Amino acid sequence: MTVLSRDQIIQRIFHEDITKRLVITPITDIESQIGNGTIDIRLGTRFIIFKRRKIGTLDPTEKGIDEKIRELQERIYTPYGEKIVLHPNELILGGSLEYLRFPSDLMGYVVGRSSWGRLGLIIETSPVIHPCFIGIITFEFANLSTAPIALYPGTRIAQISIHRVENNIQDCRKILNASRYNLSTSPEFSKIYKDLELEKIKSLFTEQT
Amino acid sequence: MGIGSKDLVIDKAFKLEKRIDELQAKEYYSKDPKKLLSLFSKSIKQIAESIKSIENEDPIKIRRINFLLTVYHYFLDEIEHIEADNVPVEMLPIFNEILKEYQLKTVLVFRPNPIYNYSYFPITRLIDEISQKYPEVRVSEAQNDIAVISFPSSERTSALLHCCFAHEIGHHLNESFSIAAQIEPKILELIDKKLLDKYVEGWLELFRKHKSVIDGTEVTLDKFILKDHLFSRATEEFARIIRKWLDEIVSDIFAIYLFGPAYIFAISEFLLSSQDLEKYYETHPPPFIRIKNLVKLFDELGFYKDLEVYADVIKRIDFYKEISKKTFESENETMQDIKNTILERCINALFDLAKSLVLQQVNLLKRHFDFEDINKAVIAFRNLIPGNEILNKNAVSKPIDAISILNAAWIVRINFIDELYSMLSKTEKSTVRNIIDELTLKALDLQEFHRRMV
Repeated sequence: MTVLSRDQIIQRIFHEDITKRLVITPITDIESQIGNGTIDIRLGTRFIIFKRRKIGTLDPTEKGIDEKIRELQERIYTPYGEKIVLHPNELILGGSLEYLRFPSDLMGYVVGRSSWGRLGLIIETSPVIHPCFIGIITFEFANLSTAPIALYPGTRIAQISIHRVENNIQDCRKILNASRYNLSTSPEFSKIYKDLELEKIKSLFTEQT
Repeated sequence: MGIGSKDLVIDKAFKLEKRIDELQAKEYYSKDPKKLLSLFSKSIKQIAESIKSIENEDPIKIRRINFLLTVYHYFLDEIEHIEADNVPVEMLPIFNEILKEYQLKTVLVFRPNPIYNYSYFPITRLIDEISQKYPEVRVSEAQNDIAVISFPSSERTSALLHCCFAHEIGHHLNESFSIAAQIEPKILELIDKKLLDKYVEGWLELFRKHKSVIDGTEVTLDKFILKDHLFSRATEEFARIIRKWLDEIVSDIFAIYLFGPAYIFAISEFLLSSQDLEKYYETHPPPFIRIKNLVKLFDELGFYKDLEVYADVIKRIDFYKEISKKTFESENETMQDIKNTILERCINALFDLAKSLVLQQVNLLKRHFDFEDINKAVIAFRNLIPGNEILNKNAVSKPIDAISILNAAWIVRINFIDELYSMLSKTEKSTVRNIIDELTLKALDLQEFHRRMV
């Protein structure tokens, strides 16, 4: 697995063959957006916030956990030019402005920009973008600082390093449904209840009791 | 204390003020809904002041004010449930841009409608009109012209269906440029007098069937009716209906000029899903007449040629042509048949006149969509990418217009739905249509970002 250089990223972004092309849209300024080995991505307008008063235990094996997750989270919209304030110890979900489509031989790692990190902002806790991923990235923002942090849609928030995956010849069109978060256009609620091993774990728990 | 007494009316005003306070504390998709709330707040305060100054024993004034407050209560409903999550926010800049282009300063407020319908409600004009009818209440005129546009609440994310908004914007442009009002005098000229005469004869015939005995002599009722009177009553009724239909036709014409083929697809889908093709109302012509005229305009504007590479799109238009071949003209001439024929002939004759007047307005402006861009966006959508992928190496390249994106999404939905359906291996085509809607909203969001930030 090798990291793509700036020139290689640009080459893949403008590749004529869609099966080879790395789609990142919008690329509004190639000079500033694509760095050496990384691409900057920006914050979108849609967020999911947690209704603290509703929070109980989140047990992924619990019946109806999908509804419970939806119940304690709320979608909000912050237009360009306005801000959302993240308070200390608060967690919210946000989405990338950019919509991505990865070919089968590329994958990515999302890392928060250090300028934000130094303010105490954690941006992404599950950084892997798999080959054939299509959609926006959901960020998990947490404020570890002691002061509230203002986030503005459209600002550069994270970066992706692009890696080549050797010998991966899957047809992405055939595995579009493989990822539960594929084709999302705004931050997605957790779909942890779809984890297959949970059923097994739950049955072990029932046997023991 | 009886109902309608001063205290109860004061209470009602107090509750309205309280509700406005609560609504003002909510977060909306933009600052526009709050402008409407401020107007309500100001008006209710003025009404409340007026009640206090009324003599307790003046029940008529109190009842009138009570009614006015009920009207405001109804108006307030226009502002409920318009938080960002209930409104297709990504689509709104399109309409604000159109208004700006026409130099109209109207504020548009979008709201979900519990009824499955799109509607246009010029709320401030109505408030001003009502206020004039209540001289006992001092309600100042609205400073902003605000109109409420509603959409079916269950269709919040249906970007493609929301091309029907173009018709509602058309209503606003129609009113602003007085298009239907200019044509109105032609209505009387264009009502078919021969048919009208036949209709009135039919009416008289009904009276002839009813007999009365006066002073021992049997008399038919038509003896008491003046034919001229029936003639003018029928003319008045038909002219009233046609005038309302004319508003709809003019709004349709604006919509197709502004939105292109996307509007025809959206409005036809909406009409076909919710209404019988021949059913009409005093306020709205039958769908077949609207679709027939829109398809005619589709041909005249050369869209057929622009879209001929998309076979299923052309088939869809041909289907619209086929279903709108209907006519009310028939040999079975009941009174209803004659009435329908009069209305149909008149509105069809007015269509060309309306078209040329609308054209005078829109011709001054640039077209909002471009078929070269549409074709590019179609390719992107087929690859499940929002339609305005920026591929050009030149960073200052022009983004694809929002309306081109909507047209491309419609083409994909009609022409390539099977391709996407098999690619996505979904169980329902509705899921695929929903994905196209979501990609479209994302594309519009990106377009807005590009427009404002780059």
